[in-house]
Amino acid sequence: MLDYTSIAIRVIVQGIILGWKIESNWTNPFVFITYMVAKPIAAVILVGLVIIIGSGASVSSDLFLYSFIGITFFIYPANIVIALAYLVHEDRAKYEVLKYIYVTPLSLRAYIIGRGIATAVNSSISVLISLMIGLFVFNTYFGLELSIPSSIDYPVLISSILIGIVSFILLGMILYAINLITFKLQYSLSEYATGVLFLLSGVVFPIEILPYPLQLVSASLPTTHFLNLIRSSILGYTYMDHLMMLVTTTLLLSAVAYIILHKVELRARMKGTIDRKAEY
Amino acid sequence: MSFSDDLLLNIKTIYARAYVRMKGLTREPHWSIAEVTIPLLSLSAYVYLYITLGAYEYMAFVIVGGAMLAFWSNVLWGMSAQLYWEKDTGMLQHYMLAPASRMAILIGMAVGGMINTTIRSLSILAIGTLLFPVSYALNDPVALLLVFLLTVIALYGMGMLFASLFLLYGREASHIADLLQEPIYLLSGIYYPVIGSNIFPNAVKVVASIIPLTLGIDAIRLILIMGKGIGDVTLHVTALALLAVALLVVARVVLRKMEDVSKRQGRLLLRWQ
Repeated sequence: MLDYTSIAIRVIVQGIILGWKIESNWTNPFVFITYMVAKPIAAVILVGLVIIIGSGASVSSDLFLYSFIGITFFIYPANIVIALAYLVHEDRAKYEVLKYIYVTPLSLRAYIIGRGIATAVNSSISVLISLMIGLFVFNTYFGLELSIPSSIDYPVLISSILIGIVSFILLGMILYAINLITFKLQYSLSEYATGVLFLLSGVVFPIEILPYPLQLVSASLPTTHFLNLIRSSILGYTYMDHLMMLVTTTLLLSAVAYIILHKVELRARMKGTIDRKAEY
Repeated sequence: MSFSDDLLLNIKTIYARAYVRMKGLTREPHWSIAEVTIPLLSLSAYVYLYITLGAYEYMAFVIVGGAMLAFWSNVLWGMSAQLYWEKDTGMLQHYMLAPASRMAILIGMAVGGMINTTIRSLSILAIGTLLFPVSYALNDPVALLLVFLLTVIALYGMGMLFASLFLLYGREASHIADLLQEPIYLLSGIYYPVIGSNIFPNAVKVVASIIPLTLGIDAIRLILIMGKGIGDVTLHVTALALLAVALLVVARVVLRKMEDVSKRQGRLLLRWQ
């Protein structure tokens, strides 16, 4: 058992190191930092501008903070899901290493977790910088006088980020599994997933605006509860319902991810898709 | 080779490269469906945000912006990063060995991309209009067509320029194309007006106008949503025409330069950089 755990930890650590290197070593540190922060900051400011322009003379600070926090923390699910959905293509067709990863002990699940954690670490930096620059831009240039309360519930905030990361890695695992037995879906699948999450998770507007059937879908998504929990911890709302729902959806997702990945792995070996290059 | 032979060869090249793009539309139908459906998801989110704010007049702005966004995505991924992908898939050497002009290959990609993306863009516009209660006030369809064509030509000129610049790069090409998404959405006013808005300082408007998408979307919204005519968008038309010519000329110069540099540095066909 100890041996199993230590190997799993080693694989996760190697996954994190490899993920960090692949995501960062294509350029010099300055360009990399610019890349890592420019995209999320642009997305945050874009949403803020839509609210300012759409509100006309009076901007509701409640809605502004709702959307601002939503779009900033949506960086986590967007980045993790895209990175893991694209991972099969990268390892199988581009670098042709998936078969070597697969034949090492305990590799696949631990490796995916490691790569997911690497993306989550990068995303944390993007979230932090986007929050700071977003507040600076909207307060300085648009005079919104936004402030993050000093009474942030840090234990709840940190717990929700950690549970959220687990949940998004599981979601990414499901997309990884689908890509393992299919070809040429890596881009569309990740974009579909993030597009649906962006529309239905109450990222920039309250889900009550959506038609009722879509509200039901929204309520079943871990991203909805993750973002509401983050908002609650920062703005001081009650959070227990969202925490329960996030934990529940994450547990359900872990069961689904485990079953799908297990079944897909067997099928991939039967179909010989683990080392087949069909994208090029 | 005589001038007429050369011309014929390059026209055939343009046709051949555009044909591949056109064929791709039916070869992978799920990609075509995705390229219409996925932009509709984010477009819908911004429409719902405007509904939340009670700013219903901006819903049509979002749908027009979302439809034009398809061109920017195609310029980035179907043009700018294309030569990097050709390098990665081992096709670039075939282009380099072919007797045709490299510009003809890029123009072929652009023509194919324009046709494909126009179909997608119109689909996004049509579905967006069906999904949400928006209305248009088109009084000058000729002006709309002229602005649209100039916008698309200028945009693909920019795509050819980026494709040439990225010839030297490996993974950087893909990441830089990725980097040019959200910041350009922000500047070009995909989801809100930029040129006519008093939120943005003039300096920002000038910088944003270097991107053909900004001028194009603004002029198309004026004609299609606000019911304006050609007389109201003369500046837009002039600037777009200038941009179209300038970008094509610069793309040609840069392509030669980058090809030369890549060959001298031995990076032209280097994969997995």
